[in-house]
Amino acid sequence: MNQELSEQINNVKSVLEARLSTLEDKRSILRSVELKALYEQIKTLPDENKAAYGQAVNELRQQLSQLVAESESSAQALSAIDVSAPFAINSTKDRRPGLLPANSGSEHPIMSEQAKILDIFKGMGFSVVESREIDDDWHMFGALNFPEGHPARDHYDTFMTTQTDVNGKQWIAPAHTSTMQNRILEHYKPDLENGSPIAVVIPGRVFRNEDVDARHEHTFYQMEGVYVGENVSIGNLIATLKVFLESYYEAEIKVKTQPFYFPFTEPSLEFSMSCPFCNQAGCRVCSYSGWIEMLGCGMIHPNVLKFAGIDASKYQGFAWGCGIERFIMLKHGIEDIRLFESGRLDFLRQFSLGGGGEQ
Amino acid sequence: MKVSLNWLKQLADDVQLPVHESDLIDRIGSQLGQVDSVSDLRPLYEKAVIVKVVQCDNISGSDHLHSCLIDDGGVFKGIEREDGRHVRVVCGAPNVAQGQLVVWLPPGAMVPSSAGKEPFILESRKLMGVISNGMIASAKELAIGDDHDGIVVLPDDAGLKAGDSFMNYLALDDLIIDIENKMFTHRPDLFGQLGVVRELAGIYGLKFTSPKWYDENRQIVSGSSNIDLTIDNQLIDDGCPRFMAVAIDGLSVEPSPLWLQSYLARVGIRPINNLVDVTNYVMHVTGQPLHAYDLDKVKNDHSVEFVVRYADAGEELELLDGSRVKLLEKDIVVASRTKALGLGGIMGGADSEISQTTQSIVLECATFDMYAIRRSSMAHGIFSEAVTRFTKGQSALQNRAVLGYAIDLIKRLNPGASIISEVLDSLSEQIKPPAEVKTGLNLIETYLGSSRPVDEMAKMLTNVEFEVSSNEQYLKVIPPFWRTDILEPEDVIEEIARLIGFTNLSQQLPLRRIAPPEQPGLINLKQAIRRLLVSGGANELISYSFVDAKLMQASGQDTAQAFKLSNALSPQLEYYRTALVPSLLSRVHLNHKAGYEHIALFEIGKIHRLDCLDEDQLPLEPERLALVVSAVAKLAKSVYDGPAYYQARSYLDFMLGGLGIDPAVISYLPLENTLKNKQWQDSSKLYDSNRAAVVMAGDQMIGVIGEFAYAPKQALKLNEFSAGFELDLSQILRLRQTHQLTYAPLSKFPSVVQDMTVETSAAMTYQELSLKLHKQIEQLMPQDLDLKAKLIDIYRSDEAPDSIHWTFRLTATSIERTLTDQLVADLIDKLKNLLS
Repeated sequence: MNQELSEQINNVKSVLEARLSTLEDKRSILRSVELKALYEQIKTLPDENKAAYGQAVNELRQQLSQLVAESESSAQALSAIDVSAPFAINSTKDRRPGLLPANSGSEHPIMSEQAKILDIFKGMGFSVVESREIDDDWHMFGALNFPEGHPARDHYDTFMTTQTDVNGKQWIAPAHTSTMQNRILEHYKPDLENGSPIAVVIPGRVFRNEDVDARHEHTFYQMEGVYVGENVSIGNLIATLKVFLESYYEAEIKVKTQPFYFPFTEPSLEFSMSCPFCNQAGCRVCSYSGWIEMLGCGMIHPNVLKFAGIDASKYQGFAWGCGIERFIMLKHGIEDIRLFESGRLDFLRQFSLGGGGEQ
Repeated sequence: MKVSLNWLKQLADDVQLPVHESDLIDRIGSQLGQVDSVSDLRPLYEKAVIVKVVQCDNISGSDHLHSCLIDDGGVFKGIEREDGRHVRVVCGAPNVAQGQLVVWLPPGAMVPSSAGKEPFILESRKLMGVISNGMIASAKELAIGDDHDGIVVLPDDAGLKAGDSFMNYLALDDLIIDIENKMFTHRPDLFGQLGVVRELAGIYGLKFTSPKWYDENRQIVSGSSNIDLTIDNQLIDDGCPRFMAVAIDGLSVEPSPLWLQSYLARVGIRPINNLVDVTNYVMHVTGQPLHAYDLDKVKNDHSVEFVVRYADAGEELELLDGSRVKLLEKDIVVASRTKALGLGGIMGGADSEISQTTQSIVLECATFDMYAIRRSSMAHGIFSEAVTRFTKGQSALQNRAVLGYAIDLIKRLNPGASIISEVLDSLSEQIKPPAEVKTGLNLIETYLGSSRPVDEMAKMLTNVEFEVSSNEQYLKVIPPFWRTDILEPEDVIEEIARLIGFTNLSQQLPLRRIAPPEQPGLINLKQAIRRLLVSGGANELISYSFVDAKLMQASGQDTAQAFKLSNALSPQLEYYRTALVPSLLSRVHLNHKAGYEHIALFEIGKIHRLDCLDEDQLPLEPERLALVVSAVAKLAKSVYDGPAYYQARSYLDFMLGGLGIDPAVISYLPLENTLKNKQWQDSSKLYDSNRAAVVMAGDQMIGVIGEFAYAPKQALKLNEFSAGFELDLSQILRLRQTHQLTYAPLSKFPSVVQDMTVETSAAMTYQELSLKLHKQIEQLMPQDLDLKAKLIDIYRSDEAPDSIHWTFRLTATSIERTLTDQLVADLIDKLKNLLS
């Protein structure tokens, strides 16, 4: 856009800004002839100027609406009250707004289920550390044995920010709670070397850049588990997860595994349990297969231990990650994962103390 | 990765795979990788019969239909036959003729190509007045090829006769097992049928021996050297560690034989011609992609020079699929001296494509760096079968075997074919045979949870062609040349554990000390808050960490301070939120609309700001609690006195009280104070300064509470009766630890309760008055006397708007004596005078 055009816009800008304070109806500035004239002019311009000019005029309009909104806000300001008082002046005691009835209150089902799961792991001696919602490339990938540019990264459709970290790398919205593994291993390394195995569960929100439907959300909750000690076996991993599931479902279950691939575990497994809802007789929850896939897990790759400064010849460990929504959807037969973050009371109040309360 | 069971069996003719198919599929699932689907081809082909066309006449009045009599050897039962023997079928194919051996789908059979769609079941019906029983099928209808122009005509010299089973002829009594690709990210060998069958043998404890042709050192004998084939491999040290090629003459391009077409078709590959099909067939056997160039299109006199290099800036290339790509600097191209011929390892170029007239080719068998292939594939959005395989890191050591096998097949299909160049082999010195991996027997025992006989473990590995030796301490293995994934002892252990079956290992819980895990302060606090607010009738919701610019602008948040996604799913999810209250506000209107007239919503979550980084420059993630109350106008008016602000306050006071935090530590400052704190500065635009306050604890800001400013209220369709707060949970946690209310011992003496009304100027705030009051109480009260004051009423009359009457309920208690009403009344009088 040439000098002349931008000056023209700036002139209109100062004229209109000055006029704004004099106007009764502030919003009328957005309908001013000057602004209209600027828009009118677009069609007379040569093509190469149109886009930049149009954008500049739109920006001006945006700024003006902002000013209008602000002045309206102050013009429409409410009467002042004593904000330090606990209730309103001249209010009668039984008409003061207090709390709503307890039976309409509800805890979010993800949070109550997460708490239940955490309780089991706390009882098994696991500490709890929450996951991050922004992390760097090193923790999300590098420290987990995903080399730079490795095709295994393609399995994680990550969101990234336009902003970059000190190494010039884009920040990442973590696609798994494993993003915390390296920090946790480093943090608890002294305990490990003093003879206390590392046992931590990591709940948190994770993000995947994928199309959303009834079964897929771009934002969901995971829980990671990490255990490192001496003489840790694959059987330890399977047994730990099995007793957790048995405690959670208060039922005996059978376990099935499938080999899998994660760069940060070797071997890597997918872990299925016998359906606790039908005891393998076949039901809708398990799609009449008798089995339900629950989580991914494996023995921590020695490189992951090494990256955290842990002697991989002396210590082994296992890790797993599972989705929290899955537990709740299975339990309640929830059909659409998008309901969890919908903020709809129709959904939330079904989990209320009083079975929904009154509207 | 689609696997054909019959293809596997054919590659392993000396190993007897078990016949029990469901067990086989279970074992693949538990010891190889997740089975996505299994499709049984038998129902598609079991009714198809090979028949002879004994008579073929045009149907008068039709320009293409033929009335045919076929001989099915009498195998099909229950059909009307002419002359007691032959069956009448109408056929529209132009190539049908008397004497042909063709494939007949009798009435009751399903057309195989309709499987998985709407199944088309054949019957007997009249066409142009002629009865037609079933159909004579084309390759496309049989789902064994792409040819739709005519029916399949079977060769005369294949020993076939009328009445033979078509299914048996092409081994279509097959299971197609689709195994999840992700499993094989580190197993390039499993992208070929050969790798899968070897692994299956291993799973069943059977010794597998690769076919003779699969030999890394095999000789490829050149017939003559008419063509001078050379290479300038500029990327031998990084992008292209091996490039083999050979020129072949004497070819004629035709459709492939049916067996070849049908194997490709059943794993989802479209047959094209007898040259391209061979490259695809060999790739599906070995996992190694190949490429064929039309020799005439790449040669210069009698020489062909290949250059392997990175693309030049601005270079363009038309690919086999007809698309034209602008090449990027780090794309690997295979080129002639003058121009790029193909995008190496991803897709060949259109200029040198095999055509119907091709008579000679250059066959390439090269290895490209997986990282480079991934980078270019992502950049151009091309995800070919070759990309799938090269990005797993194919072993460069199998190229000679693969090239030799491809030449064998080409010769089989083209008896006149001969090699007319030297075998070109540009091989990087960095390519070494797999190194020996030494794995401690102790480590194996640790992972497995028990010791296993060394011989047993050795046998498992030799079954899949590892070289194994051992001593008292170590199991030593040399992986076969096609395995690129066995680098560490743990990789060997994975192999052993998987072949045993993970769930067959002994399952024991880890032993641990009984020390309790540390208490997670913040998590416990959040849980306590949640329980409190829920008991106060509030609903917890969870909303996305990502919000849109519109919501941020509507609620006065500065997008310039927000982390922005470069690849957001939609504009609604573009920014990391810098406050929680706006997310809650965006959920208010929809819930009122759904019929909830009075709501209290809360959320606990993290916020992010560009200017909030820790000492390592990592974004801080302050944890916040936000709560919003809102009621529709009619309800608010009929039920409540006063503004919504005080309902938000009720929740705040209730929550802090429930957490045991001393209310005396909390104070309220004007909203402008948020401007001093960058984490909170945007709040000044969200709230109405006349009805909002900064919540302080001593000199620490812990949050903001208030009603919302006009602009956000308009933009978010909020009710007049709406208010909320947002608090920093680390501050609440600190308060909970430092300002916990403590127990006061009960007195043996009764308390005296009296009300006191104080009149002040209208400018006086509760906070000021309360401070004064407590100061005076402290000064006036005798040592043994505890006086608690609770505000119960605030009154201002219309007649005297300049003054306010505050009524406190005072409760006086002594731990030493019985108080008299008079004593308390005197004290209150003194207090009152001091305050008014």
